[in-house]
Amino acid sequence: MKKILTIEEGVRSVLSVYNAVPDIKWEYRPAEEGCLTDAIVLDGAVYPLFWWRCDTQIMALAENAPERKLCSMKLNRTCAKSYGIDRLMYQEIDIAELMLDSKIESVMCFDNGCARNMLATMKNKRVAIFELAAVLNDCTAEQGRHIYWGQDGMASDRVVSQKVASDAIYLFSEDEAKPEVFNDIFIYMYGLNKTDVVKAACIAEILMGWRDISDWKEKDAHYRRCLAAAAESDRTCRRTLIREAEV
Amino acid sequence: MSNDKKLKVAVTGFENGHCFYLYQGLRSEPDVEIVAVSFAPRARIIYEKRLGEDAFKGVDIYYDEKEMFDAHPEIEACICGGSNRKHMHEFRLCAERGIHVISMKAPSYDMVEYDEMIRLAKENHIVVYIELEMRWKAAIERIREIIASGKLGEIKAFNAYNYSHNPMWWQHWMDIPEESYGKRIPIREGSRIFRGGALTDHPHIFDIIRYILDSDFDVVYAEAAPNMRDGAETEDLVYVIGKMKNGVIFSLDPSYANREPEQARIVGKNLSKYPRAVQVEMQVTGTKGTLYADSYNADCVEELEPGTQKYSVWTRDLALDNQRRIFVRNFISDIRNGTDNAAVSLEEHKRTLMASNAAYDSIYRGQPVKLCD
Repeated sequence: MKKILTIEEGVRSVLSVYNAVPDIKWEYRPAEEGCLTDAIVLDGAVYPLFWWRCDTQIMALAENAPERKLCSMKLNRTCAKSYGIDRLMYQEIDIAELMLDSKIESVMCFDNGCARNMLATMKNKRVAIFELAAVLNDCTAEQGRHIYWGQDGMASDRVVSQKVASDAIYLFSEDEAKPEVFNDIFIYMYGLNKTDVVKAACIAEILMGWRDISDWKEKDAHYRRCLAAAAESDRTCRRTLIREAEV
Repeated sequence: MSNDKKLKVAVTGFENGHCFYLYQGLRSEPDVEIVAVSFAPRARIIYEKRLGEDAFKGVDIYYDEKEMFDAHPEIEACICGGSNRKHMHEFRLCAERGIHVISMKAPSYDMVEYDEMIRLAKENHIVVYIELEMRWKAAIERIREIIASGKLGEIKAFNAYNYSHNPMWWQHWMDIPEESYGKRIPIREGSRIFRGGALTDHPHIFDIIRYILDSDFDVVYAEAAPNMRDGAETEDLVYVIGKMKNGVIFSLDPSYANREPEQARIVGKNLSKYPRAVQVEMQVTGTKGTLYADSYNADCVEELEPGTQKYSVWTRDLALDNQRRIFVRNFISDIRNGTDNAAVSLEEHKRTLMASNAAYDSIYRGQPVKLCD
């Protein structure tokens, strides 16, 4: 089986499955140090890439959220130390606003270096609780759970009693105390790890016009204001309103 | 053991769900003789259905606590299991007679009342035990040991949730603010939701964080989300974050996050919709790593019931799992021998409930609340 080795190769592989030939010039830019997310360049215009929106579990939660009449959401996530907690928070804020169908209005945040907890009240009065940490080994998959509750149901990306992210294959051998794991999903992106599969899928969907990113720059600016408000809240120990950009 | 050496015990109320377990535990304890119980007629009907028609065989039954205590001066100890509002009344009846007390997890959220309980206990030299079942879990001790080993490095964050169904459908008092919280206070100014729900019912994780970190609350901030149950008049989704005095940040979630059939009248197997009746899980993060823990039995089974095809998830305790028995035996030992084996004293537990009150104040004010020393 031919292995896909890069995100760009993965994108081309997906496009070929759909016989899609993008009529624009595109480039994938991984996040550099200090950046809050990866980027996609379309005909010279740079857009933040909210690639996590193509995670199949996030997609499943998002699709069902409207009919659940949500009340609140918990975003418990722990990532690698090198990934950085600001980057993790940026990503999770997008997921919270996506699920709760509202912008964050105010935040109360407690920061302790590698760990950060934040309560956010949305404009529609729904509540998001963030429990974030960046302490894992670089080779350890992001852990945690997204769960929301509504007047008409709930949903979670971890099933009952499941503590850690699951994988497709667990290889136990007599040489190793712990299993080696693989999380191959799509045959046409065989070889890419799960995160890169999601990124490639996201780019492919954008190129095929399946995903509207016209407001992603605006969202990026808003999320940065949320991060600034979180920092201010931690510094002042006060609930802090998000200062929206002046129109 | 001859009957005159057995501890003569009474039970009042039977309104708190844990009375059921304590009553069962005491019935099988050879050093205990249950002399009398006092409860409302409705509670008797429910518990005779749940425990069987012989549930109170050989036990004198009363519908008034004072009448019971007056008729049985031999009572030495009592499980005070009424609604939270009745705890002060039950406690005073006991303390003034020198009767030792097993209190439910929330003696009172009224701190004037709470201080009165402390005073009565001291003046009458009674032993007071508080039933906080999470203190009996092996996983809690293991977490303490792991933290002490330094494997997680310097501890930075403690997050925990204590989810359950909302018992309001079969224990109605738990959704009546005056009965559960002791008074009717809106969760926010002008709100039609009142204090007395999940935050009142689930103090365990507020106790456990103090025990595991050996530190006290410094500042708390809390939010109540819109209720997910139309019928509830007390909060069902509530989130509390903040900082301990040792600098560790926390997130504590005592929500009634697990749905239940809304017409359930009797506690039974048909209780949970999703995902389990009760869940208590936590995450401790340090500079060198993080741990995820399930302190309420991680070993679930899933099943599809015959006939109804209802899907459910359950955990089963070991047949020999009787940590409540250790709790009761320590209580008896302290009474008989003058020892002090209580995991949590009445005075100590006050600070836990003060944190819950501070969380309620924070929701009301919309700002963090600093706890005083």
